[in-house]
Amino acid sequence: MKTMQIVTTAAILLTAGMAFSEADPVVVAENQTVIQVNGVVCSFCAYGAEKALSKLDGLNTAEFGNGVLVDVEAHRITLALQPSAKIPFQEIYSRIKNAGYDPITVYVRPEGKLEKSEQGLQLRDARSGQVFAVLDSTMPGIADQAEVAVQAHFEASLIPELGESEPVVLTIDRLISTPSKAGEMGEMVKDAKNG
Amino acid sequence: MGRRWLQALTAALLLATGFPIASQAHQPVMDMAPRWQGGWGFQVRNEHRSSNALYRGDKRIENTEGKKRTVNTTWLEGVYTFKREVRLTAKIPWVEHNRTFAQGGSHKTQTGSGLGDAIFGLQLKRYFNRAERTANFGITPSIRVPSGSSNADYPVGDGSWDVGLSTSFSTEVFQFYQFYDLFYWHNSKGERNINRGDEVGLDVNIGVHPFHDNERNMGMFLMGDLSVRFESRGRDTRGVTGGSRVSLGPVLVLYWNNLMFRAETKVPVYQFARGTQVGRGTEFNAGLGVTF
Repeated sequence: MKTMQIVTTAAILLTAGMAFSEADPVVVAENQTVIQVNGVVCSFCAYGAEKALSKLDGLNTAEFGNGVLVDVEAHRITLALQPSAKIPFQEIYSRIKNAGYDPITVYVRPEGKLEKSEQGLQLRDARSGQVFAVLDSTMPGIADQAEVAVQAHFEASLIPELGESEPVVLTIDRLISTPSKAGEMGEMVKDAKNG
Repeated sequence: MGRRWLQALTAALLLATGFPIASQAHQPVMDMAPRWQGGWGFQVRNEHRSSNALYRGDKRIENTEGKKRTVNTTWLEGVYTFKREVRLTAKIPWVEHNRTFAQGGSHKTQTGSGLGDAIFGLQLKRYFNRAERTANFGITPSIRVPSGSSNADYPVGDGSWDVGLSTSFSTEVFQFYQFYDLFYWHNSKGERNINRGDEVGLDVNIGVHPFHDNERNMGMFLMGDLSVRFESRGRDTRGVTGGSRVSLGPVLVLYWNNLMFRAETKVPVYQFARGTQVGRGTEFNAGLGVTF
């Protein structure tokens, strides 16, 4: 009975002061990609995901020790990429799935020129040359050929359906630099819809 | 926010009401990892227990004959994950044990040591990944092979092939971990008339994750452990076996990248012996595991 009391008291003390914070909004730093992953709550369990992702080409291993940061509180995996690296979405998706988790949303931060084509609005990343499709409705009032840097996302479940060299379709979350500020890349974070 | 507080309150209430807390004595290797395809791991775990408390039924009686039993078991446990739903596990013990009893007016001590009976299991799991939670149901058929010798005075094996089945459920959020495992072992008749009874057990681990460092990939779990066992009447080379027991104790788990250290103590809070038997005693358990 005494043991029970000790265990109970310890448990109450341990849980009493525990804070439960809402997840912070995703902010993607330059040359990074963030993946929101369902089920990532323990880094010992997610070691396989970290190990598999750390073997991707194009990682900036100077960041986070191996280019990969698993955040078990926010349930996110952040990849630090070399500026010239294209983001290997198919590989990222399959490696996370094979590690036992479910990628939900991918956040990216491309910067470059907006171009209108027959396929719609596209953004070509100036550093890697990677092309992204952009939902027109999320980029109102931005002229063709405008230079922009944006934070955007897309649903990870679309990745397996992508054809080879088919670009992902981005929903713009925020404009990091406006067309007139292109080149300066100031941290003038604006809501894209109000942009 | 409300749902999170509800989760916290529920877990605290469960703990506060003495909800069971557990170990995975029979459960091969780690429940949590590796869950990745092609992942494998092993751990070395030592269990030590010693007792001179004599029980008849659930009554502790005077030990006038000076009976005593000490058991030290070191397990080598391995796991291979084919894919997250299918894992193969294996564990083999190195046993060193002795028992003392009165015979012909003096004390006699019997000893035994060597490789014990190996256990192989096929874990079939179904995972559920949610935004802030992961959970899995598991069903594990197991087989215990008679790799241990049944020859010594106090044999480390019984020479029988035994089969087991366990069903488990674990769920985890960042702050809390819960694990439940219900199992059954059918022990068949072995050599030298050893015939241990069938066993039913429940293990529960409930705990918190009070410390974690994302950058260094290290942290700690603090849990409570409840082990419940019912073993039907059987016999070994010295007489009747079987009974039931409930043990409680704390569990500490430390991890750093792919290394995990686990230490736990199981204190028997209830024991029932069929016939007259030396009790189980407090168990100390420590292990180091690694995954790849």
